[in-house]
Amino acid sequence: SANDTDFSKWKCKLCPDYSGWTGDVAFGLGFVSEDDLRFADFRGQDEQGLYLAIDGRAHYQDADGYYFNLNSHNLGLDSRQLEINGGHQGKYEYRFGWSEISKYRGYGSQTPFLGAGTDNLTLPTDWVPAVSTDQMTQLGGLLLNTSLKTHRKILDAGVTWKFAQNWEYRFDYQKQKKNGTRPFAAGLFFNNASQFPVPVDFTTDQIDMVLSWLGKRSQVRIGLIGSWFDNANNSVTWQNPFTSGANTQTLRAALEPDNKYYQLSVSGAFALSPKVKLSGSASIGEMSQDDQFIPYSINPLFSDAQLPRTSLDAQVDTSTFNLSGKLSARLNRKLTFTARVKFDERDNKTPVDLYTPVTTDLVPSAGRLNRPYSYDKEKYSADLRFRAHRVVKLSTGVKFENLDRTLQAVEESEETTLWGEIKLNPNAQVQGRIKFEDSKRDISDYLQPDDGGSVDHPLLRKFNQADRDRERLQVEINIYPIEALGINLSFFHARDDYEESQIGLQKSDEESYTIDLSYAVGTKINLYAFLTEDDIDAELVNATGVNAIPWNAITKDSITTAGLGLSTNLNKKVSLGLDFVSSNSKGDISVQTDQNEAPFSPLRTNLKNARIHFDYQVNDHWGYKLYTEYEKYYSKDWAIDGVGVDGIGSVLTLGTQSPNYSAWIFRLQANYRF
Amino acid sequence: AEDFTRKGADSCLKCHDEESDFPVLSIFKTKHASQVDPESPFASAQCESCHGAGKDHERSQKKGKDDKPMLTFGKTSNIPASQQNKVCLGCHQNHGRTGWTGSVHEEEDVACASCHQVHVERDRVFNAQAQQQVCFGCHATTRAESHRASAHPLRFGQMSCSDCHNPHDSNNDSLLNRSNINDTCYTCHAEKRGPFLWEHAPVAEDCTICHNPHGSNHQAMLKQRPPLLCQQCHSPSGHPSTAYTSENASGNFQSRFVLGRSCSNCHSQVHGSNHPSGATISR
Repeated sequence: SANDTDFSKWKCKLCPDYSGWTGDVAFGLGFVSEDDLRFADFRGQDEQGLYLAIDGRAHYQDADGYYFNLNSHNLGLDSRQLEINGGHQGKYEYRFGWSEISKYRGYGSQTPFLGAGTDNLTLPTDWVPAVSTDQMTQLGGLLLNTSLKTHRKILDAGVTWKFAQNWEYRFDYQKQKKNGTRPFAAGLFFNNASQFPVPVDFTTDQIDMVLSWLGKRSQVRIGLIGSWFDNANNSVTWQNPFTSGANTQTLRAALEPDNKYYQLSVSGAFALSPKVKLSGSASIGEMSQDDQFIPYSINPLFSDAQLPRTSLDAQVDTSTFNLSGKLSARLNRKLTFTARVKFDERDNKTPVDLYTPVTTDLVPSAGRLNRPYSYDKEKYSADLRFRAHRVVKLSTGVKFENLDRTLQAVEESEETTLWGEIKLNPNAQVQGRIKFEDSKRDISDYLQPDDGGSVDHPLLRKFNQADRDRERLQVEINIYPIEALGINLSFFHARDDYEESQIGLQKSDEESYTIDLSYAVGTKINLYAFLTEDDIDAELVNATGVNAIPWNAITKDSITTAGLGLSTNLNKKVSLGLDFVSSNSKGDISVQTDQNEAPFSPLRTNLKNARIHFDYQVNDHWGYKLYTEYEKYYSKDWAIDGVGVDGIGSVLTLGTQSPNYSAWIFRLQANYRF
Repeated sequence: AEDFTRKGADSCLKCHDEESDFPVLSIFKTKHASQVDPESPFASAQCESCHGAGKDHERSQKKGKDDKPMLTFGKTSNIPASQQNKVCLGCHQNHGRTGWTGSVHEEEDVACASCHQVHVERDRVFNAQAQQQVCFGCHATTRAESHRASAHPLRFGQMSCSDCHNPHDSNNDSLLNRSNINDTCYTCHAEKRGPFLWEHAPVAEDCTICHNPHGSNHQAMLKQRPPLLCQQCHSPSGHPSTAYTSENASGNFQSRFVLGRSCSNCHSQVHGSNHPSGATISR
């Protein structure tokens, strides 16, 4: 018996000893066929040609419990990852990570602005402003290609220390730096606008500390998060390329302010009895921001305008309380009851003042109060799950959500959801599940907020604050006709109706069908295939004024995603993997007025990606890794295609085009295993 | 009382080796096989710490019978998920798993071993690309969304599901790592945290009012395309919500409210502005 057994006498003579170092180092060359920025997005391969292909993995362990792991990926690319952890098992662990990710935006972008990447964008000295882009005669000769790229570097470091029995302390630090440029646009009143690159120079430092205690019947964690965001640029100025008065030839916009965030949390679980378990968490946090304000306007006419304060001194207190209790009625082992409560509050304590904005550096406007939004959410839910029969499980539940907002159109909304689920498991070969959910949201009076700003159409109902009926249906069937073959069918339907909204979103529908197949040929080969069809539809009604005839818009997004592949370890020397995925989307938009309007030409995206990897182990130490990937992407978007830099008379754009490419990667590496 | 085998792992490994249907020896490359960590299964009853006492199984196998199976794990096991998980949680009901009780994965009878691998050197869920395949096994729609034209970089292995979700913990909505949706997004997008002088109300409340974080066929993972996205909530006097039709996408009637960045040709600061004149989020 357990009490009599002396486990120390179990010698484990047949247990293999893997003490020491093991690992792989793969090194070689890769080739990218195109220098397409969209293809390089996230991959970090933005130039055609050769690159170093270096990956590595190392593992150490010994009989004393010391261990070390290193994993690295794509070290020769702009997007790369390195991850290390080690320590003394049961006592401490240290962690280190380094990763870089490149993100590209705005394919084919061009601009006449000089100083991309800085906070001051100017035009060439021989620039002649014009009232319209088609009259900017020098534009063509002054355009510069501009790469809208951001590069994110992430450093992670952390330790875990088990300093006493049942006690553990964990500390993690992360620094994220994001540098580069991103597209931005701003204008001069209703007259004109310009698109240009603005600098991104963000640094975010974050710490995450957790002290945890583990008991037999209960567990407790106390955590502290701190996050500090720093933007090296608090504003951007740009020269107005359009004809304007002497005081609006240079314009200015604010960029994201520095901010801070702290959160203290407690979470835990407690088994009141074998039948009743409770878990929960509570956190309080504070977001703050006190960056120095820039003046109302760079326009010298308003240089003396007095701000009500020099910085916002913004503070938002957040608090979240979750409590989940589960009662397992073990008297008959068939009934489970779960109740949950959640409170989530955003208490915005930012001081409110009367500001007199100068709209687009040109037009002084009436005084306007800033609106620090707060909300208070309460959620209650209860589920009952009943195993009615060996093959049937019935579940039902109710959810109630109350949301109070300040300074918005609706002060209070309440939503009640009822759901039911039937699970059938007649035998090991067939499983089925159907779940239906019905929700109804009711709002208090819809009132126009009075903050000195413009007033919306009186019949408008913002959809997130409107009465809503929601239905959701999920159906899943899993069939295993033979042990090696799995067939999974699923269907999802969601429908939102906003019947009380005369102006605003009327309804939205989403349907998704999936078939998923997997097949194992013996123990060596696995095959898979899947197909998902998503349809997302919405209908909107709006109007230009109280007495105007409303117009409506119908949007239909259809997305088909399909994939297939195989993976095999034919023997100890050879492994092969093939993966193919295709994702095609079509976006139809029809806006109808009292005229018979033609629909927009469809928006399209079409992705095809194929990957092959082949690994061959020559001997105990050496092997080869071959990887090739082909990707073809086609997209079509009437909002940017063919518009060009000067295609809109009143907007100087970046001339961005829809990306279209076909590209491939070839990589050959020698692999040394130790 | 439990009846263990006579020699522990040495009894098991006589039959269960690398050549068996379920190769097991890679567990000795993992923490579970440590004999110096008192919390490790191999510091006590070895294989039987998890698979249960095996004396009867050992005897029946010697007799050429197969009528005393051990406790087995995973999707294909006929042991109920709750019973399997009880073994794992005996040691692992700590850290990020305090909320497992009552969580959606627990209630849907997901076994720990449905996702995790124990007898391998490196559990697949610690690899970003392999992890998502595990999740997509049940969350098929999310797999399709991850391949849409605008999506977080899951398909490149630069992100994993667990960067945002904690599959073990129920305490937050959608099993999020942070208290709510916005706090989760701010982990990587801290510049949008503010608080700003001029807030855009839905942004401060819930990023998913406008964005689908799993992917969209519209840019920036937006659920709808501007100007219609904006016109769902805005119809102001002085800047009326005009019907922009296909006529406005080209030719003589082309409109800056439709082409280029649409509404954000002027209103770029949709996430909020700290400019004293940024009330209309255009500065």
